[in-house]
Amino acid sequence: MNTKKPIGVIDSGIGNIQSVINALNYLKIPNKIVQNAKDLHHYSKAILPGVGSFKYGMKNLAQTSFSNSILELVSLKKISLLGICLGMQLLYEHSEEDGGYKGLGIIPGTVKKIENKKNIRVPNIGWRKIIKINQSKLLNDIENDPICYFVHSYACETQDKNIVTGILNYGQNFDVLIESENVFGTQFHPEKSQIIGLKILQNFSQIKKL
Amino acid sequence: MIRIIPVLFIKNGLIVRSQSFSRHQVIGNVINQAKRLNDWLADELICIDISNKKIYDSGRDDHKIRSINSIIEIIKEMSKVVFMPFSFGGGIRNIDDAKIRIRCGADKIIINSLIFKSTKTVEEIVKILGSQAVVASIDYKIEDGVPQVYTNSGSHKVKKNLYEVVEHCEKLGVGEVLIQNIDLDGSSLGYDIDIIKKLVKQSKLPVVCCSGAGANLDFKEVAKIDELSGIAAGNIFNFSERSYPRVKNFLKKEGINVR
Repeated sequence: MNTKKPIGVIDSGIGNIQSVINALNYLKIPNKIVQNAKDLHHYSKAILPGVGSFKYGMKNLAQTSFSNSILELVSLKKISLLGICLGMQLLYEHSEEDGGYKGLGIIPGTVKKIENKKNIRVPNIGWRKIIKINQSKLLNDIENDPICYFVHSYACETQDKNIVTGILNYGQNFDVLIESENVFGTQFHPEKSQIIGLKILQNFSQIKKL
Repeated sequence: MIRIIPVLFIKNGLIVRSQSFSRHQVIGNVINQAKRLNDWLADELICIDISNKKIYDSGRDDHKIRSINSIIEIIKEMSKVVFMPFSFGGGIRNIDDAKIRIRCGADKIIINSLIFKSTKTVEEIVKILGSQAVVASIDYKIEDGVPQVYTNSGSHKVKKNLYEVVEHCEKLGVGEVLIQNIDLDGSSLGYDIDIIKKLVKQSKLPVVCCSGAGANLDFKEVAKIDELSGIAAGNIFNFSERSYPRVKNFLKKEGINVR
């Protein structure tokens, strides 16, 4: 019997929540879709998945009031939050996408367009090696430099490099894994990165509350 | 790192073997095959629905699986067994078609006829789902040395060549292109090396090629193209036992950068 409290999977109408749920179910990690921002306070852990454009993502979070409840619960109740792909980018202060748009601002830093050049195609689609830096909870028990699946045109630049636990070199260095107290982010898709990705989700589910 | 991508062509809910886009032989249940490919750690899975009539029944008596009667159900069921990137194409006519496929578990949607029917819809899809979630599938036939683009399963000729269409897709904000030489589909004659090479050079987008794979060496030859993003194949991965891991191992041994 699994008596663990479920992880809330935030559904604000953006992105592919089904894949995240499928991965959690496969791992037998209790989870529940959270469609109403008011219900988020029932959870001590949540995942913010996301596919799509930054502006559309932020607008959706605002319309559904998730932006307020996420901000409140992350700072006051110290709910553990994992942002995946666009979900990670939304944690930052600002993105260059669509002429610039303001993010949740939980993580100081910005989201920048990946520059198209020789050998660097945009979007960055495919399996890439992540360079591990700093101590990582999410990469607990994972071999050095895991290979994960990426699909994105924009990438994060974090102000405080101490919270960066994984970087991707794609034309330049981007922060693709962050762990700041109770806030986590993966630019890659753990739910789509087979064995290693599933292990990352499992590690998130096992992180103890601060 | 180049992606090796199995493609499932499905017709009325069942996987078919495809030849020249016209003949289709039923070879199996889509969920079972998706699961198998996941177990083999495939880099990605492409599924293209080529049904003319929108009736789905993936229940084959010999596969002991309950029948699945809508494409949405098929995507949902498939996404439960694949923990790898999953692209779905076919039947996407508007923004809602695109959105529901992503919501049900596809990571990318693949469009084809829509590129020519409504550029406005394509732009709208890109705006909402993001470039990275939109793949343009472009089919062509070589005519007088020029790759002429066709749509509607190769039945309708577009008055543009492959390079022009890819450039157009780039402008629309599409994130990736999947190209197929219709005449090589199911032929086992090898990939269309020259055209693929030329396109990869001309386009800034990630390019995935398909059609023509018959043997390990075909993969090796096309994998040598600098900056090619992915190599897709249908029949070879679905027809012969363990062909996916065999191809991967072969490429690794040959020094190709695969996962």
